[in-house]
Amino acid sequence: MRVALAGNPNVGKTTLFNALTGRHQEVANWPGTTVDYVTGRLPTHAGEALELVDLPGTYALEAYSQEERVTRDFLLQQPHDAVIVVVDASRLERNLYLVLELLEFTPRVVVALNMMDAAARDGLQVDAKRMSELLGVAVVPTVASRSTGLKRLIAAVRQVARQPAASVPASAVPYPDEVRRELIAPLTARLATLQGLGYRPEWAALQLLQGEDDVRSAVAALPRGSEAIALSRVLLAGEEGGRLRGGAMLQAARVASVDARGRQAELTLLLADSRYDLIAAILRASSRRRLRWRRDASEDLDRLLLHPFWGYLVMAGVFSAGFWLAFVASAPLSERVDRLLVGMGGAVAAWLAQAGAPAFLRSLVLAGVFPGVGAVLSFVPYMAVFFAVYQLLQDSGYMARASLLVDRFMQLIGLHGKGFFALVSAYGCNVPAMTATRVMENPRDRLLANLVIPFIPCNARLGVMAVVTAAFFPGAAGAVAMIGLILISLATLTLVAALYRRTILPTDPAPLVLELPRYHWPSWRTVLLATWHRVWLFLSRIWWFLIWATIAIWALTYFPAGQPLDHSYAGMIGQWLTQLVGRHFGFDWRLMIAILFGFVAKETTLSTLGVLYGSGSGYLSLSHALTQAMPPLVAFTYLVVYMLYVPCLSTVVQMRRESGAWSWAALGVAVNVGVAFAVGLLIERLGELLGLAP
Amino acid sequence: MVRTLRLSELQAAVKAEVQEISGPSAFRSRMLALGITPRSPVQILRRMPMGGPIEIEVRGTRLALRIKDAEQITVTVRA
Repeated sequence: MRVALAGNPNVGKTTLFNALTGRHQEVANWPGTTVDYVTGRLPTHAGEALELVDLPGTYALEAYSQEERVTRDFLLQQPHDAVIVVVDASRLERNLYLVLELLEFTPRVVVALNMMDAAARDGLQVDAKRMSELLGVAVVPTVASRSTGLKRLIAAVRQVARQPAASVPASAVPYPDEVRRELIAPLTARLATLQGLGYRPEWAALQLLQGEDDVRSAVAALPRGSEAIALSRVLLAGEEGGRLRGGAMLQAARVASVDARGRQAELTLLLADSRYDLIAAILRASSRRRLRWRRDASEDLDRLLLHPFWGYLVMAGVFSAGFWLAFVASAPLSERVDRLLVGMGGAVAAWLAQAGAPAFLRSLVLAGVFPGVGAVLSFVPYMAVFFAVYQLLQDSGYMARASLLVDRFMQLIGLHGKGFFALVSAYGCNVPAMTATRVMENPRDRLLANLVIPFIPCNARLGVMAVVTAAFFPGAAGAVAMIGLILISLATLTLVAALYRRTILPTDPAPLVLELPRYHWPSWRTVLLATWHRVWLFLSRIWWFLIWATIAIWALTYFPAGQPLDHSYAGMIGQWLTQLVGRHFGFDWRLMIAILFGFVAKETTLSTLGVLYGSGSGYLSLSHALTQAMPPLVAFTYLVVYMLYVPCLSTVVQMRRESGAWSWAALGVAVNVGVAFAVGLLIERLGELLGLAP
Repeated sequence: MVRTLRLSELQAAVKAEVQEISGPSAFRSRMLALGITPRSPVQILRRMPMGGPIEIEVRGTRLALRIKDAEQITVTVRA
């Protein structure tokens, strides 16, 4: 038996899911989207096995964001035996809207009246039994965070899933008689005669009358379906079409379709209005609010956290602490993973040498396979802490406040507040930052954020930049150079974002709608499980690709076997690239190779440079070798290019994943590299004009 | 006396009632799902600095809207 779990965002749906399924969970990616969803199995000691699907949060059945689309598609297309709608008992008025929509769609609904404790604290008493009578479905009070009411919920689900569909009446919403008689009834009757209609006729009628596209195409595909669609137009135009058939109906629809659109909008409003009227009536009969003078803790917190001055200060503090945890505190862990792998690589290579394996095999293991595995695994501590922090901020309700605070400033680069965290966190690591863009509802906004994130220098790049800057610009000049670099990256990001907006990604009219949920303590289980799911998804997608890429790069430097590095294939490519591009910048072949290899992972650049300049990667010897090899202007130009072009292969793979197409990732990389070199050239020429060249 | 104005022009902490929602149909149906329907009581809780979004309370829920979007919603105030 398969049961879907639906509900508004921030109602404790995932907490309920975790409480029900425990560790029996599996995470997957919805086909063709970046939306992850989790399925879980209930312990099977009682009755038939039960599979639970945690659908993304949604405010209504009509889809607005990609997440809501997934929920809608699942409910409309995937077979399921029942739906649990989770509602926040302290926010019933808005939450019941989705319940009523679902009740029209399927009779097999159980309402989980969650957060009963929070409602009680507000002085709200809800009579679940009365509400159940009024809605016509089971309503079970639960407190997911304390696992209360779960047994009764599952019992109700099993009962609903067993009962025959016909025993449940269709829509309970008292739409105005006129609308029922003149629009809904005739169209429902016609739809009921269609062969193979997978939906309840009345629900389909309501959708058609509101001009819903998915349902219209589903109906159009049925034999005689186009007649039903034509009837919906005729009815909307205020004509009677119940008796028309075939060609006569289509003819009448052509005449009528002109003013159908205005009526659709009017009708949508009318239907929503009737639903809210019913909700008000249900709440009057089944809930009682004892007036209790009590300070609203959320509002008190908001007075500080949304304050025009203190709010920003607290936000800076919260984000700094979060990023410190994610990117600084986790660094020793990453290094340990790295060292462990280097050690293992050495041991395996030594063992291979003893066993008399050929030199290339040893080199493959030492310089190809283990660094590849290392490149994947060294991300894990970052990702894990980052996602835990992210989930914590999200679940506590703080992220919505931060988005609200920064929205005005994000508009400057054509994005909204929800993208702020992603962009800021990109200074730590671009890869999880791309995942964090998913909070944005609009796919176009998300795509834009993903395309510009690589311009933000991450931890790894900042580290390399600091070392090279210190070598070339000692003392205070170094700080000026670093700040200059960061300003260049910000300016580039702003310009490129504006360029994308003007050309291929114009702004959608989509509004920013942000619910500000009540603050609450996140459940550890929810945070940890979400973190684990995200890290696992990342690893399972990326490892194969990264390892092959590292091996390919290794092959380029190793073959033809026995040659020095500058005669390897990589060296030849470096020389060719110098001829083609590098000489305009003053870059020699070694810098070009370092740029090329930087594509795999930029943090390896220092060691690459160390090998290429024959100095090892010790700081003093490397900085000496570098300052001997090039003037400061060339070094600065190199840093600009280095900072701006594709951070690493993982970002490219992630960009592909988040955008859903290799073509977007390719475009992103092309623009990234093109802009990096263009800005570099600009800086180089400016420097020459200012007489900074030797 | 009843005054009609845009939601964006409403003063903070003044109780008002939604009259009409214009704009693209996706926007309107989203507003409906969030509880912003004709006759629903609404008030502004706070405004973010420098023309940033407004925080409103409607049907027991708190929502943030941009000024540009709030301009699409007309409300009335009883003076």
